[in-house]
Amino acid sequence: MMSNESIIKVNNLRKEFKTKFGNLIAVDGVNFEIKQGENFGLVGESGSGKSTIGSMIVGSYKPTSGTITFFDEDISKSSKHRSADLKRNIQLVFQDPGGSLNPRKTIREILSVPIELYAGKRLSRKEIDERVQSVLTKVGLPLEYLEKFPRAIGGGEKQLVCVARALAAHPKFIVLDEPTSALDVSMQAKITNRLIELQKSQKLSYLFITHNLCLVRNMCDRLAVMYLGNICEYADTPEFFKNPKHPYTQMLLASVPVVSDEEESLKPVKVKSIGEIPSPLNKPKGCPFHPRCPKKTSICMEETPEMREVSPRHFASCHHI
Amino acid sequence: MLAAYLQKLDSDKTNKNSRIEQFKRNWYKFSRNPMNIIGLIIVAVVIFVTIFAKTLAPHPEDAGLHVDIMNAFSKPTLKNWAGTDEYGRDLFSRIIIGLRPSMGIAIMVLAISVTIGVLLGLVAGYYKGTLIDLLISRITELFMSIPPLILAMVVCTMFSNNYFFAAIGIAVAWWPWYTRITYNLVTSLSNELFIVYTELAGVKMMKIIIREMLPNITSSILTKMTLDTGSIILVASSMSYVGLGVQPPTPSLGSMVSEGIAYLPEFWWLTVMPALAVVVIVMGFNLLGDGLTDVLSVEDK
Amino acid sequence: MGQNVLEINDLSVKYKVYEGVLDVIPDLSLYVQEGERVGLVGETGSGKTTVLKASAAILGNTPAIVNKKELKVCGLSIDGIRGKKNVRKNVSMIFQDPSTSLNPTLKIQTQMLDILKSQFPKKSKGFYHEMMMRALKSVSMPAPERVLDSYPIQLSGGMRQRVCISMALMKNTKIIIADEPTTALDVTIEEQILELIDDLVKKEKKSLILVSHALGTVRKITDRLYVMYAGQIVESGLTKDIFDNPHHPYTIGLIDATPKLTGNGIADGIAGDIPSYLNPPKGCRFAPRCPRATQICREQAPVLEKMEGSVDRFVSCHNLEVSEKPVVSSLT
Repeated sequence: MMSNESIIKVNNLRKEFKTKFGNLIAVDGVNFEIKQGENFGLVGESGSGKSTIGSMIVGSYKPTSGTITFFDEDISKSSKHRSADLKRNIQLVFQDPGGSLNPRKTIREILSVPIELYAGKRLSRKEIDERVQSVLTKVGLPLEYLEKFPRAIGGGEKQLVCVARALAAHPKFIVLDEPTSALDVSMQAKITNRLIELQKSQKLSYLFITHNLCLVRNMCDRLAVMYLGNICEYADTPEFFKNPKHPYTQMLLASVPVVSDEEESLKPVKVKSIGEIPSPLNKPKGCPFHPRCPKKTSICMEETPEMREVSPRHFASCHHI
Repeated sequence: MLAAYLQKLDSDKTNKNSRIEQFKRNWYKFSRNPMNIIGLIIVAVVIFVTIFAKTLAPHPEDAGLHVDIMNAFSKPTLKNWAGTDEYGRDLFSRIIIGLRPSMGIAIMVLAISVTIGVLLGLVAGYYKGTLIDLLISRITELFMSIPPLILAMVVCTMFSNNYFFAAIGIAVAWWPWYTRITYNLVTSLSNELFIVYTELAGVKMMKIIIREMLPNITSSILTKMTLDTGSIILVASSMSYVGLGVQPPTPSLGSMVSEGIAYLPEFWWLTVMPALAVVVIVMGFNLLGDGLTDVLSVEDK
Repeated sequence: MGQNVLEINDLSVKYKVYEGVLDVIPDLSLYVQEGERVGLVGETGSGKTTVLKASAAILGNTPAIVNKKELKVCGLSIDGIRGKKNVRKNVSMIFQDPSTSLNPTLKIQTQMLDILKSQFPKKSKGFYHEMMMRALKSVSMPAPERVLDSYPIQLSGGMRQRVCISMALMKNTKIIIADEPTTALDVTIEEQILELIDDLVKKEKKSLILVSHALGTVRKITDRLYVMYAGQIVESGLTKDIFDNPHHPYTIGLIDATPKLTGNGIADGIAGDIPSYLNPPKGCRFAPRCPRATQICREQAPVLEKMEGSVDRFVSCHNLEVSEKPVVSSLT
C-alpha cells in the first residue's frame, strides 16, 4: 500500500523567527521525504522545531529558505497563497482538541464548515447533512453527537471530531500535531488505532508529530528524531529501535518511562540524561547536542556534523558513529 | 422521505434541548449568588416601571407643572411615599416618571455606541496591522481620553439643550469602549485554534468574523452593556444635575437632586429620595452585570 | 519503616453541583509508611486529586461534603484549624506546573527567604543565604547564585521544578506529596527530576506520595502503588508485583493500552468512559466497561480484599479466578 512516490518532500528547510532577543532558529536545514501511504513520525522534545515543520507544511508560516513539495508542486508558501485544492489536500489536527472546536457551535455546524467550503458548488441542506453524517460515522461517533456542543463531550471524542473535520475535506495528507498527548492512555489507544484504521481505509499519508517514542514505535513506518532544529537520526521504525545510533537518541530512549521489564531490556545501555535543553535563541555552535553529549570531542564544538547513511536506509548526524 | 423529515424534526428538538439545558445550567450558577438575584430583580422592576410609568405613578399629573401648595413639603407618608416637593408634587410619582428619560438616554447611547463601536472594532480587528487598524485605534484613543460628561456638555451647548442631544453627546464619548473591547476580543480569538483552523482552511475572513467570532463575543458585549446602563444613567443624572439634557418641568433624577439641594437639610427627602433611586438603579445594573460576567466567563472555559 | 506517617480511613467525599450530588469518593482508605515511596495512579477524573486535596486539608474552598473522615498525618488529626497546622508542619507539596506554583513577580531569593524565615525565625542574612545555596545545590542546580537572583520566567521548566523541589525540601517535612511533578516536562528532563526526587527522598528518609496518570513514571520510583478508578482503589500492592502480574481488569486494561517499546501495536484500550459520579453504577463501578463482568458485578460492589499468600496485595474484583487475559472490546 505504501508506494515509492513521495507525497511530501522537504528540502533544506529553514525557519527563523525574529524576536526581541535576536533570531530564533526554529528549523535549521532539514531534509526528509514522506512516501505516499506512509505514516511518518517526527519526534522531539520542546524547542526541537517539530511543530514548526508541521506548521510550514500546512502553510501557517512561510519557510525562511528551502522548499517543501507536495507531489511535484512547490508549496513553500503560506496558506493565503495556496490554491483551494491544495488546502483541501493537506489537513491538520491540533494537539488541543478543546481549543480547536468553536465552543458556540454544535458538532454539526463545525463539520459543515469544510464540507461547504470544499464542495466546489452550492450544496443543499440535505446534501450537507448526509456528508456530515457519513464523516461522523467514519470516525466511529454516534449520530446524536451532531447536536451537541463541544463542551458536552469528552476530550477523546473532541479529538475524533477534529479528525472527522479533517476527513471531511477528503485530504491526501494529514499533519497530526501531538493528537493524543492531552488524552488519557485508554483514550490515546483508541484514537491511535482509529487513526491507523482510517489511514488504511482512506488511503492517507500522515506526518505524526509527537514527543512520545513508544507511540511512534507502534504507529509509524519511519521516523526522524529532532533536536534544536536539526534532524539527528532518521530510519525505518524497527531498525531505529533496534540500533539507535545518535547519542541523543540513545539518551531519549533510555529515559522513556516503560511498564515492563521486557521493554526495559530493549533500551540501550543506560545513557545518563544530563543538562538542560538550550534555548533555540542561543543554539550551541557545532553539533547542537554537544553540551549534553557523553561522547563529545573537540570537533563536535566546531563543526556541525553532516547527515550520513550509517547503515542501509538509516541516517544519523554525528561525528562519532 | 417521511423518516428523514421525522429525523430532522427530532434533531431540531435535541438542538433546542441542548440550548435549553445550557440555559438551565447557567441559571443554576447565576442563582447560587443572592446578589445576582437582587440585581436581576432591581433591573426587572426598573424596566417594568419605566414601561408602565404613567399607569403606575399614583399621581401622574405631578410630572408636569401641577401645583398643590396645600401639600408642599410633606414628609414621606403613607400617601406620599417619598414626600412632596415645594409645589406639593408627589416625589414618588416624579421619580418613577423621571426614570423614563434616564432609561431612554441609556438605550439610545447603547444603541448608537454598540453599533458603531462593535463595527469599528471588527473592522480594525479584521485589518489588524494595517493602516486602517492604526487609524481606527488612534481615533478610538483620542475619543477615550475625553470624559463623557464633558463631551456631552459640549455637544449639548453646541447644538440644542435637549435629551436627544444629551444622548448623542454621551454616545460620542461611549463608543470607543466598545471598539476597544471588540478589538481585543477579536485579537485574542484570532489566536484560538478553532479560528486558526478556519483561516488555514481558507474560509473567507468576513465569514470567519461573522460566523465564528461574533457568537463568541456577544456574551462579553452583553455583559458590558448591562454594566454600562448603570454608568450611563449616572452620567445622564449628572448632566441633568447641571441643567443639561432633560428640561423642566419634565422630571429627571439629576435635576430633582439639584433642585432639592436648596432645601437641605430640613427637607432632606427632596434630595435623598431621587439620589437613593439613582444609587439603587445603578447598583442593580452593576450586580446583574457582575453576575453575568461570572456565569458567562465560566461558560467560555 | 513500620510507622504510618499518613493514614486515611473511610474517606468519603461528595460534591454538590447543578445536576445534583457527585459521589466522587464513596469509601477510601490508604496509608503511607515512614520512608516509603507510594504511587497513586489513575486516569483523569479518577478522583486522585480529590484524595490529595483531602490529605492536604485544602478541600475547604470547594463545594465538597467530606464525610466520616479520619485522616491522620504523623498520628495527628487534620480536622479544624489545628489540623491544618499539623498538615502544614508535616507535608510539603510539589505541583504539576512549576510556573504557577512560583510567584512570577518575586525573585526566587525572596520566595525562598519567606519559607526560611517561617522555619528559622530571626537568623542572620548570611545564615539564610547559606541555607538557600545549600538547598539549591542539593537539587543539582547549575549556577545557584544566578538562580537566586532570577525571576521564575527566566528559568526553564526543569529549573523551575528544581526550585520547587528545593523549596519543598527546605520545609523539612516528613511527607512530600508530588502531584504530577513531571507531566509538564520533556522526557530527558523528567528522567533527571524523578531521579533527583528519588535520591533526596531516600537520603533524607522522607515519605513520598507520587500522584500521576502515567504508569511508566510511577513505575520508575515507587515501592508501593494504589490504582484508582472512579473514586475507588481497585488494586494496591508492591509496584513490581502489580506491573509483573496485574490482577484487576482495569489495571490490566491500563497497562495494555500503554504503547510499548516492544511494538506489535497497541491494545484498543478499555471500552467506554469513567461513569458519571452523579449516578454511579450500583455494583462494581468498573462493571459497565469490564470484559469479565457478570451478574454479581452489576449488583454488588466488590470489597478491596487481601489476596492470599501475597505481600500487601489488595484487589477489589469478584472475578479474580478468571486467569487468562481478558479480551478488551473495541470502541464501537
